[in-house]
Amino acid sequence: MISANEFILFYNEIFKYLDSSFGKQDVEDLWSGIKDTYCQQIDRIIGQKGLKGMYEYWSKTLGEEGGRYNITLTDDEFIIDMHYCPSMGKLLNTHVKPYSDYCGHCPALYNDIIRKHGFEVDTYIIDRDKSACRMHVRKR
Amino acid sequence: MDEYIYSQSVHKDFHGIMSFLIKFIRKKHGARHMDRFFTDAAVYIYRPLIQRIKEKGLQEIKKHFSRVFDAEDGKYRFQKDTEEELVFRVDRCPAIWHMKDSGAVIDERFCHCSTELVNTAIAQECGFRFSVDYDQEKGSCLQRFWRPA
Repeated sequence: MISANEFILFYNEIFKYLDSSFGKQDVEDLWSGIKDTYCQQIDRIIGQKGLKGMYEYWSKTLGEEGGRYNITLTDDEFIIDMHYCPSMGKLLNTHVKPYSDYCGHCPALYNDIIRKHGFEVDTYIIDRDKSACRMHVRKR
Repeated sequence: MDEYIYSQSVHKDFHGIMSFLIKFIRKKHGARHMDRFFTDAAVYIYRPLIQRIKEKGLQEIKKHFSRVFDAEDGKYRFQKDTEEELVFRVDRCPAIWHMKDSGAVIDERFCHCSTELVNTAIAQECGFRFSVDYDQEKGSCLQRFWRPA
């Protein structure tokens, strides 16, 4: 069994394998497939509860995954200030080399869903090697 | 294996996404790429574990399995535990049962990739052999590492 804690390392490696063997579009096809298959819960909760649904979803998942972050929810904004991403953090604390666009999987999985429900979203990679980024969602 | 990742919280939904990765590479690129990916990735990812096994023997595999299966509440036992052979029975695989309980689709080659290919690669790197007899539907298997005569 590949343990849940080891998953991120294989996730990172498959991006590298697909990119080097078949090109970046293949990595994006993989992300799109994960979005269509595994992001139904976030799609549903944002559709039902909007910004509060985002708060509910990421509070739970980031709570499980760990890392250091602040989540801000106002009447018209939802912001994740990721000070230390638990996913990239795992890569940075092992011998494996992160895929050059590892952080790209996050907007690929979530941004279309967020926009579909009437919000604007911007993702800022502040410093990949410090595992820091920001996601800013606003009502349209 | 790098110690840091085992100090982190366990997010079992990742097993479902692992199943999707297997399905993606198998269906889109075929068994040859699937087997090559998991074999090569295992050798690279488990490099620290492989080094420890080379230095200290099968006890390092036992320690590794105990740690990851305990962290995910798996049910298992070691049926044989010597310097020459390690036999590991999994009665309830936490990955399979989490996916079953959460309704995730389990790819037909899940155990082949995540156990057979990965552990064969680790064993070969260390000069051991590996075999597994698994029942993916039941989430059980019998794994054997041994030193060839």
